[in-house]
Amino acid sequence: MITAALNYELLQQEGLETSLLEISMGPHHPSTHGVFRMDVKLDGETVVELRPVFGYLHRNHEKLAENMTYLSSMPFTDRLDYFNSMTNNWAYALAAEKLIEVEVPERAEYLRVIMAELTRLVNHVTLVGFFINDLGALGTPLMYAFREREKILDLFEQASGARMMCNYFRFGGLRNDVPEGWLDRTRELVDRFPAFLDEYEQLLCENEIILSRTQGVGNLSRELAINAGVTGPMLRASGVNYDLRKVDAYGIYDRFKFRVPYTDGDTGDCYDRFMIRMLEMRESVAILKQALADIPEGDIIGKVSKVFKPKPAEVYGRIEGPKGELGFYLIADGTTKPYRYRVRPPSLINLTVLRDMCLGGKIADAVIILGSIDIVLGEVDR
Amino acid sequence: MTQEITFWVLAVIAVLGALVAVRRRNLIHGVFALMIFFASLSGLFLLLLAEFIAAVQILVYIGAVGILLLFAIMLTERVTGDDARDITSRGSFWGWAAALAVLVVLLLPAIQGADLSQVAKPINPSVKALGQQMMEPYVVTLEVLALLLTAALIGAVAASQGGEKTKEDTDDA
Amino acid sequence: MSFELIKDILLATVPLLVIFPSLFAFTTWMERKALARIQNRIGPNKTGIPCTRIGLFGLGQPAADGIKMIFKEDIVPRGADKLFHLLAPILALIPAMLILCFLPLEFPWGKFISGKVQAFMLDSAVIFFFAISGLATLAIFMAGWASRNKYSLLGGMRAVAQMVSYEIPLLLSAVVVVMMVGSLNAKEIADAQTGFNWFVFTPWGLAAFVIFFIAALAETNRSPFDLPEAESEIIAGYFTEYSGFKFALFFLGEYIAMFAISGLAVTLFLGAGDGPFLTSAPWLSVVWFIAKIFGLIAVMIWLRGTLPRLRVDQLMAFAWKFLLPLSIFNILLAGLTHFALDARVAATSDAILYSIHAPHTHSGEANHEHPKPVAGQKEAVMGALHYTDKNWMGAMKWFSKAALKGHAQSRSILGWGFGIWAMSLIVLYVMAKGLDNVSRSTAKPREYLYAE
Repeated sequence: MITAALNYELLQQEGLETSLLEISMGPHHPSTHGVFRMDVKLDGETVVELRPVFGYLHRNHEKLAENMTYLSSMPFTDRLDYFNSMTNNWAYALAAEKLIEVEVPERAEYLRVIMAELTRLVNHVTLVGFFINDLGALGTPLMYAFREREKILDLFEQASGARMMCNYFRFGGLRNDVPEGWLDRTRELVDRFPAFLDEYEQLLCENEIILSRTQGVGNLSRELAINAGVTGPMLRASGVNYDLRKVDAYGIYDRFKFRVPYTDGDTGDCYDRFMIRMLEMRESVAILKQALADIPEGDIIGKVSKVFKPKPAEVYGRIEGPKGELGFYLIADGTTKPYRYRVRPPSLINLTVLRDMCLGGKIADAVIILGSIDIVLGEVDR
Repeated sequence: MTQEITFWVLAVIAVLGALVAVRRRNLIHGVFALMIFFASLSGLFLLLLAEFIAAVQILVYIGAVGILLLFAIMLTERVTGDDARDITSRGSFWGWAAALAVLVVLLLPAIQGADLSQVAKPINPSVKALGQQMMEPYVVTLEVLALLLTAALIGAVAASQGGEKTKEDTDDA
Repeated sequence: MSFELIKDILLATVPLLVIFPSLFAFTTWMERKALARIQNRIGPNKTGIPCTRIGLFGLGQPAADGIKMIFKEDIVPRGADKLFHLLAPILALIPAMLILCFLPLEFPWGKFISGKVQAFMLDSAVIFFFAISGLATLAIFMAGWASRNKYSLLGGMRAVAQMVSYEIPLLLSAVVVVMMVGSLNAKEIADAQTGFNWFVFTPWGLAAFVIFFIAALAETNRSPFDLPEAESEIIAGYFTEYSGFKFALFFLGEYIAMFAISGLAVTLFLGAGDGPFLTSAPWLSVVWFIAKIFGLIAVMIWLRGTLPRLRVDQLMAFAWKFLLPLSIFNILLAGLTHFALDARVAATSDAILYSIHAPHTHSGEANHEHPKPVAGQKEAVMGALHYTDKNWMGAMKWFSKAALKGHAQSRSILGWGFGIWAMSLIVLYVMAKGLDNVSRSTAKPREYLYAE
């Protein structure tokens, strides 16, 4: 892995005058997924040094939340990982619900699962599209992915009024019930989704170029992944069977039968990360089918006042977000506002291993490794 | 008439290109000036109806030698060309002397008024004739040259492979 | 300079300068539209006739793009080498336009050219083609270097490495055709293929065509070999710092180069202007030629919409470990089979010809009886005549007719011919497969575990 660096030193010792090419990739770069920057030093095409630089999208999210009531920062969580506003909402609601004892109605629990799994589909579909785009397939897989994403975003819009910034969850339930016929439309979508996955797998998963570009690139060992606190599909691609939906069984996830795909941990390369997401989508579809079959009628939100004063306490609510463990850590001091509000962003923590994965690779590898980590700068910088 | 104009234009470009190639401090500018020189030389060959030689001139000198020079420059740290370090002109006297000597040697036959027709028989410059010449009287020369070049190629590959081996050794150690 | 000469020069060059840039405009539209359809989009559909709502399927898009390009600000980076920055797009366009002259396009107005302009008749047109198309590399390096931008520089370096590497299989695959025809003259190569004797129909020609096309993709920086302008890695590569008309020139140069190299592929392997209905309408040859070019370009667009990009090392490995050995082997095989076939078939066909000539040559002998004609003799003779004309397709047709009538020698000729063709196809396939196994990466789909 550090061969390239050694090689470079060797050249220096022999007295050949070579110099590294230092490139600042970003913040405006087509494939840094937002305003992320990598300071890369190249020996020819080989990456010998990489320094991630971020903070260009810092919006004071945490401090803002500490200066407003609990509920009013719910819309702000949408903007964290703006692809997955539903799961962000849920993680925050989960944390706050630990502060105030409240019963979440059955129908709301089911809808939460449905929304979260739809969000997972949205995220993974987009990620796979962008990932192949980073590999150089000019837009085609991305447009196919966006076709499916749009259908799901239509559903979100019908339910919450917004396509991306849904702001749909409330402490103790959901903001409003889904409109009439929504569940049928969702069932239809879920029934048709495996066909899309089949098409995608057929087109991509055995493509010679994709295989040779992604396999053996950006290896992440199981030890490093655990030590760095990597979570989500990336951790499972490195061979750790760890999924909060199974571990915590938050919400009503214990009622559904689904499997967690993971690897044997031999490689943990970009191909594994890509494939784990492809496989996870099938499991999400399985969950969705069960949830849509079992969903009862009933209330949508428990009895909670909009402004409340919880007893002083420290709580941590976490969910298995599409990108990894998304956690909200709240310290209540008895007022209407949190004393401390802290987000555990999976994007940022997964990003910490970027340098280790990129060193010794080619510059084209660095781009797809970044793509396979799946970051959203709204969440990295907050 | 047209030919003479073309010749003079090409000749002037060639000389200017050569001069710029020698005099420019900027390596990349120098290489490109050298290529202009090569290109106008190829034009001169065309003027002599030696179209195959002209094509080979472009193919080998611009396409191969020029690119090789660019490769070499790319491997140096002056690739961006912003290095304004002075190239010292020590020994320029000997350079001029050598150039003059070559010029004199080249002009010698003209000065002596020697009859060149004995040396330079008119040849058929067509590709077909050239090919037949290469395949019939000069086939041994061609094969020996080819062998030499192949050996050089394999040698280069072996040398670069050897370098890699030492790298692996250091990795193991 | 006489009026005649000027007229000739204009007639020879202006069509190239008009037709191909207009085809470029059409191709950009075609590419946008095709890519859009591949990607579930509609593509340009509003830019038709100005000030109306007539869309014309977006056919006005190239014009709109052109106008936009001309009026855009021309930005030169502060640290850039201004002269080289200006020269690079021009230098990129010149060789591309220049090599168009070497294509054996027979325009109907060609007969008005008095013959003083010889550009089309160059004896070593194929070599010139490669020599001059190689200059595009320099333009790209120049652009990459002069922009004083590291992405540009990286793109330039990639371009040089890639184009130099792929020039070799490109040249070597063309050598097969040059060998078969025995000439470097594009016109002669085109003439050798009239009557559907396209070289792509021979096994070695097919292999060479595939190698040529792949290498041509790399030469023109098309997907999946578009590393020098890889958007997701190095922004736009060597033309990152170009805007406005200079960018348009690069764009134009790139597409003209695509036309030129497809044109060469058509000339070498796809029969140049050969096609049906040529006897009644000779002007169709230009149409066939350009239609074939567009066929190849359509494949390029299709590939662009389909494939991801290779990595630098894989790109180089593919050129040096797969294409190069295969093309060298192809030359060897072409030589062997062609001459083996030729020796065997030529002898038999000579025998056929001799069998009819013999009575006439010995007509002086009084007692000689005229031999009774064998069934299918006439067809076999026609075949042999076509064969000596190097018209393989015609020969095949007549020999098959003769063979159907039970002519033994024709049968043996056909057997030998098809046997050797099938053998060489199999050998080529095995060779390609073997090289593939040696040089390909070990990547293959994997199995994954599931936790309940």
